[in-house]
Amino acid sequence: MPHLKILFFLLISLKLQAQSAQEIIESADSKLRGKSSYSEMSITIVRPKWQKTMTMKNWSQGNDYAVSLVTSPAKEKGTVFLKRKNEAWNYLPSLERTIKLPPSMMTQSFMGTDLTNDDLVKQSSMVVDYTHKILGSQRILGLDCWKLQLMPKEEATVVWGKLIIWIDKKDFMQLKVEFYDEDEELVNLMMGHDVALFDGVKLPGKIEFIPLEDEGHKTIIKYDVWQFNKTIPSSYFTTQYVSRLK
Amino acid sequence: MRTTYFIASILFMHFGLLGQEKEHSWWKDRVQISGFVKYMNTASIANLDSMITDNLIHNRLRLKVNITNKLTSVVEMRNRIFYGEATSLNPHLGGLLNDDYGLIDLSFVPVDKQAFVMHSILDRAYLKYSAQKWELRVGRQRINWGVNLAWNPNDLFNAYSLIDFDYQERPGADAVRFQYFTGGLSSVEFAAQPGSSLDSSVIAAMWKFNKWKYDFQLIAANYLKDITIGAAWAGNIKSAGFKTELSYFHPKSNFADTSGALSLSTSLDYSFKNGLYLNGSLLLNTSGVSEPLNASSLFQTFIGDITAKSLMPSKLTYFGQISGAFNPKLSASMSLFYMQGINMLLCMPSIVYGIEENWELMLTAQAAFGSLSNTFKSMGSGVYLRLMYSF
Repeated sequence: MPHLKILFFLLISLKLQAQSAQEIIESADSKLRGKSSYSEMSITIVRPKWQKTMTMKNWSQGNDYAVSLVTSPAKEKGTVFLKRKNEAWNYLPSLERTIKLPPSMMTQSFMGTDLTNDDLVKQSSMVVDYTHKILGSQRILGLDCWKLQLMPKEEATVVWGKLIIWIDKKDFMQLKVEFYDEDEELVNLMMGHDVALFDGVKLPGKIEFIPLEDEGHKTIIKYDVWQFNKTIPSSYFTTQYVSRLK
Repeated sequence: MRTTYFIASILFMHFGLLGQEKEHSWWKDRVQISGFVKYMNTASIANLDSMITDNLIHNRLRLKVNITNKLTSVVEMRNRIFYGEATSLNPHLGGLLNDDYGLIDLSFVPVDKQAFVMHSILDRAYLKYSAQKWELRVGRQRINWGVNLAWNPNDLFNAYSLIDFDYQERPGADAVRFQYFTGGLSSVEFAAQPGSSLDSSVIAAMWKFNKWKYDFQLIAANYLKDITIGAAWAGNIKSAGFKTELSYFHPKSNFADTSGALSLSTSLDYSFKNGLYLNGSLLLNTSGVSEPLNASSLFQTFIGDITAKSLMPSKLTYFGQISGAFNPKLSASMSLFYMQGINMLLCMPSIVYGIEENWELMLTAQAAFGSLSNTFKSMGSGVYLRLMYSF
């Protein structure tokens, strides 16, 4: 009987811990997204001998709606990526056509960067598709952080086999993420830098994605504008509006 | 002299004002200029011992002015300079290029020498009024109703050919287009490209909606001498894309006694994690032929003569494409068209290299193989080297 009691307590505390891990991830996630968000950013692809930069504007509404407009370079300017729940479209201004994308396109590199389309539109949400566990505490950029482990749920169609995430305890910023493949081998690293205030929210203004198998390769995202909880008309997330975005 | 001074001072004042912060931002917010300049060298090979080369300088100038928040004017100009062997061998080039099939002639040939031809055309010139629930466009515009990559039977206003790789913008149609948005992913649309009679006009209505995670569209049209109904969908089978597009054309004269033509294309596409993209398509054109062609100009039958009704000369055509990027700067693709019955294969390999932010180099070839006197052999090919600068 006492054993049963201990087991019961253990179960409860495990459940409590699981919940708080979930809460940490949720706080970090909702902080990034807000109810809605608008951002202007540059993405730089770094390779050993050259680099390439493009700029984008992004609008998002909750978890389900996101749209991105490429603003440079000239050749890609006006290209739009629209995501509504599990459906995605691509608008090509030179063809003046909106193309429905196959779901397999989501796991592919976004315009040659070290990020997948998925990473960008956050289809595979860290909240929904993974189970969460606190591993401990560690300091990143001098800030006290939770170290969490995320394992994909069985039914989730995600690319990664495991994620280790560091989130600071005070402001719930994601400061470091390790991406493991199905064989639990570390393949990608994400690092946050240049913490600043965006629209009153403390966030890393520069994020580096580093694929570990290719030396000298990385993708740097730099945020110039980042706003939260502004009213975005729902028409922004429609196939009819893609040619009007500016 | 006085006039020149007057114009100069106006210009000076204008640019002076532009220098000021307020005016500058008005200009920046309202006017967008973009485009590209391409230089392309072409080598056409009829058989191995004869090669004809040619050069093309190709510029596109796009001007978009947001007159008010709702009213926009769009003007796009296509300027081309042809010079070289092939140009000098075609004395009619200037005349051929000058044809403008629109309501208003917006095509000019300022220079028409034997080995040097210059051609300019305004292939977009329209006004757009965008309200929250609707949009009206009047003028020369691209009305792109296509859904598929390779063939678009629903593209009633300007048929598109992948083979014509250097003009993906396509000519504009002189038309009126009205779209009414009934929901986030649904709309009704009406478009008319008037001609001198009903038989030279395209008047069409389209209903678009999204259901079961599929995009659907239904079309009814007066398409030149035919009555047309069309449909298309774009969705997925598991994680592969599945798109189908069809149009049925029935002649208006002797409606009961004649048979119509069906143009149907269907495709599956898939992207692998490493970026490799595959597309397989099929085109059925019931008005096409199924015996070897006797065309004097091969590529003309694929590019020049295509309409939504007849996108390929053969009854049944298969298409396959594989493409991928070696790195963010270097990508390659291979497209194959096989015309059953005509027994002809068209190969289009292509390599694209992004040199600098706005500079791109492309090498493309087109090679046709077919059966002539019971042997399958080369029927001509072209190699195209293109340097492009975008702005």
